[in-house]
Amino acid sequence: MFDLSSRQAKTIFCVALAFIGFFLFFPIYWLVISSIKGNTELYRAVPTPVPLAPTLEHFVKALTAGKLPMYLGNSLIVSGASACLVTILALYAGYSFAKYRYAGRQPVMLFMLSAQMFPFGLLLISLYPMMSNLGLLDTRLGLILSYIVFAMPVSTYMLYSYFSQVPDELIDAARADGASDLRIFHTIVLPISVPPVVTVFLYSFMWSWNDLLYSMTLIVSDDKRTIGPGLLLTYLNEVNSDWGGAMAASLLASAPIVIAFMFLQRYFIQGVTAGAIK
Amino acid sequence: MTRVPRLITAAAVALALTAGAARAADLTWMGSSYAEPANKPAVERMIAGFKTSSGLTVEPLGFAWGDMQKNIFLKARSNTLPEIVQLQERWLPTVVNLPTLVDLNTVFGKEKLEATFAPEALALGNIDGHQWGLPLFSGTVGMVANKAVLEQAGVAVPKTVEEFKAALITIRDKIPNSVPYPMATKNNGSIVLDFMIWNWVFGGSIIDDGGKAVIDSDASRTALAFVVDLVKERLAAPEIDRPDSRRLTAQGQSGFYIDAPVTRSFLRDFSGKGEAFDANVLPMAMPVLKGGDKPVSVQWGHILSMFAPDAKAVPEDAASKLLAYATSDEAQTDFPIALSALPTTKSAREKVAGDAYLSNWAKAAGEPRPNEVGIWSNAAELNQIVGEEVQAAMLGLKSVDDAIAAMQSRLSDSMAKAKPAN
Amino acid sequence: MAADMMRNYPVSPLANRRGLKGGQSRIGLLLLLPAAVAFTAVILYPFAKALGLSLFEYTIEMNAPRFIGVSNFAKIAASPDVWAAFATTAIYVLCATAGTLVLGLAWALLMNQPFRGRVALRSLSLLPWVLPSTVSAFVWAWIFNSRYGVLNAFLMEVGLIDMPQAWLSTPQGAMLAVILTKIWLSIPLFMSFFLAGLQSLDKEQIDAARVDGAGNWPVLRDHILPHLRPVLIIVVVLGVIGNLQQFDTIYALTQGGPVRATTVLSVEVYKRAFEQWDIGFASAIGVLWVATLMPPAFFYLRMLVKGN
Repeated sequence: MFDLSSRQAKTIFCVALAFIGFFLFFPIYWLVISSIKGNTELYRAVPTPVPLAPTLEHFVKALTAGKLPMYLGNSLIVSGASACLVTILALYAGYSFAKYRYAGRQPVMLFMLSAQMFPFGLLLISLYPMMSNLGLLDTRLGLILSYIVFAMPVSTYMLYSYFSQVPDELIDAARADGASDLRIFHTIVLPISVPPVVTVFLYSFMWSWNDLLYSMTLIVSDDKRTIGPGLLLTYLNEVNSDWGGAMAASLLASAPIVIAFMFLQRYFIQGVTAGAIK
Repeated sequence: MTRVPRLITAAAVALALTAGAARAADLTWMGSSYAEPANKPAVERMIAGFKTSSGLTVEPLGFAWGDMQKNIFLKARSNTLPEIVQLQERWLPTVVNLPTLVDLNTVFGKEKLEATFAPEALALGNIDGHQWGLPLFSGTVGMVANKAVLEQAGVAVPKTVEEFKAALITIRDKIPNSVPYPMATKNNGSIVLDFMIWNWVFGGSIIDDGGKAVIDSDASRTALAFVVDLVKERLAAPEIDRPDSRRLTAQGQSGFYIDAPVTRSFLRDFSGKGEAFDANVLPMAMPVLKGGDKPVSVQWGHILSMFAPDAKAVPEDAASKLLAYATSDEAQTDFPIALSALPTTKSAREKVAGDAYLSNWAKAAGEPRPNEVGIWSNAAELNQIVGEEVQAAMLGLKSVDDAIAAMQSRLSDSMAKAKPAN
Repeated sequence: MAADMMRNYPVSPLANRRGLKGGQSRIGLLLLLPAAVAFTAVILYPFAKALGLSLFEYTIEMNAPRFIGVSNFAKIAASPDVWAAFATTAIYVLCATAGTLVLGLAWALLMNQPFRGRVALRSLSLLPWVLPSTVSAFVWAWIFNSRYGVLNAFLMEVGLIDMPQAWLSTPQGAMLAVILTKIWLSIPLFMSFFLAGLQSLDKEQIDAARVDGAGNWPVLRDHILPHLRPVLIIVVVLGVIGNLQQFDTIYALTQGGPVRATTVLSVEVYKRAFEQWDIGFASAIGVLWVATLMPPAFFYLRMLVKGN
């Protein structure tokens, strides 16, 4: 894209690469090496840039003493289920907005979209008693349903935006062959929409995956706790400030999703490219 | 991908997700001790002992100390409160509002409780003649010194405020990278406790017995100026909460700090040396302004409260039996000691009278006073006000005078709608 | 390719203008139904309820809410703390969005340039976004730590400071930390969007410009940036929304402190509602927050949907 044959351009390129690269990757490097330092080395005023005596003690402790695997499992279940739910809802709604005309279509869509601005904390205030009345408080299902709040509006918009670009001719041709609308959607439109669907799935997954607010409030039992509050409450609280443990647990907690992402990121970028954004 | 199978799958998933684990135990005990690695074994021993003596099983539910109050209310509003909840004594005034809290006088009888417990311990769970909880362990919040660090710096145990500050300066200069006095500077609840004690040392008070905010006094201004100066002189440091103080002390990087007797158990854990570290833990009297003053400390303890439908219970209930067991000699000579705290019953106290650490702690306590902020129904708001203003002054964001003035007006506003809870 | 599509099928095409039958519009509504039900149940209804609660007093000591009219709003008007939270939010959203925009765009441009190891680097760039936000907060809190933090050690080493600083205990330091953390974890998302936009850039057009003697800067200014305009608009929307709603990293990093320096509206509403249990007042703050945001949000979104 840019012509880097001149010395000046090359310098700017390298400096920018080094600068932003450092900002992006140094914290991760620091996370990794802090997790393999023993406590005496960890709590030093002048930290060592490379561990002098690497140890796995924090990892062993995190895996044996803590409830990390349980928190992680809860997070995967809850985030996975809610991302599925959001993606399915957004698929039909986005398709409906993009390919059908009916009264109130645009105002409804605009209103749904602007709902992304409703403060999550405000909704939580009434979601809390609601879930309580339904007996869904302190259940994974309650959390899954509540997580719809986070990503449904934007997901709907992303898919709407993508479906708008699917040629009408494609649909008309199938319609001329006598296929029903639902069938057209399921057998013709969906199969060519895998990348944007993956993108939307990941986008909504990340919202739930990161959540602290709802999980801290709607879940009170330790055995249903998700990874965010789990980490926070186990490692840095009033009776503990175990940085080494926190770093090791952080790495373990991130591992499954990082691995999954390595496989899915190709689709993710494709999905974004294919016009999940316009 | 047709709809029907998907709906069935969704329903199956929903069922699997809502079905909670079947209740495995006869009753549940929710408390912070179980969430603390240092104290978890003691809770497990107590539960095992209870099972042996009564045949009943208890499911322990641990929450971090700082997370307990919120979770009590979350559980109360969702009607999922466990039968037994372990409370810090100063949370009681807010918990009293819950309709299912049992007055234990109606279960065990007032006379019997008074005959069993040491009066000041029983008082921790008493409001207006109602016994809202039985004391589990007690003690005071006061000053602890790290003997090894004092020796390393060559300072004696200070008696007056002046000597205390001089000792801090010596430690700062002799031990590199130390925080001589890791005073609470981060978390509102802890800041309030530390400041409250220093404020007493200087003769001030935050709220008087009648519920009037009285922080606007010269004594309080001097006290606040003193703690602000400690931070400025690098004798104390920002970003310190109780666990940081304990960690610094366990690593030999601090001389003194304020804590409850349970601190010894944390130090054993954090130092990695176990009971070998005990020799360094020295309870000391809070420094006084001038010779002859009585040293101060704050009454402190944990209580066990009981929740039951309609707030009614009988001694035969499983929960009542657990309370009886937790305050029996068998439990009282083990659990409090494991946590490095005082037992609460008269008989158990006699049995552990030989424990040097606990008797030193009691001696150092001087004149313990009740927590003057924690006893009010609006304690949460009071904590926030005092914590915020003191922190602002300590971090140099506000002058001492401004902080005191702001505290006075905000506390007065808050106290105007407070209920006298004690 | 996507660019062609965009030209032929602008957003909001009101597709299939001919032959729309009543039956089809019914199918459209049917498809919308599940989302509409979910939306009503978990967003609209709770919102309406919170709207109502803002007119009530409902504190921890009360068993049922009591109607007090607009008193909560009067209390907000007289509360400098709440206004400060509005200001803090504005600063946070502005800095975090702008920072991510600039760095995310720059990183996308760098990653769009062919060089060895680019593919690997591009994949690795997604890492900050994939880590749970509590983990991000841990990492940055550890870097900024006053006693053992690498930032202090580095700054002392190069001689910029001569005493360890308690960054998270100063209002500016804490603000900087929460903003940096958010920028750090959002760069990958922004980068992905910009990279996607760059894919559809017309290379011949740029080559032509180069033949005409245009340098790197004019190419960026006259060709690349205008081309990225639509992406920029959606990225700004996503960024502002995300930052306005940001709670987890801030709460995990500073809990809104020191004092109230990083108490943005999301933290303020949470603390009022779930730490002090002043439900009515918390609702009122949230309602005011929505009221402030709704008008500009609505216009912006309408512009977006109508395809500028």
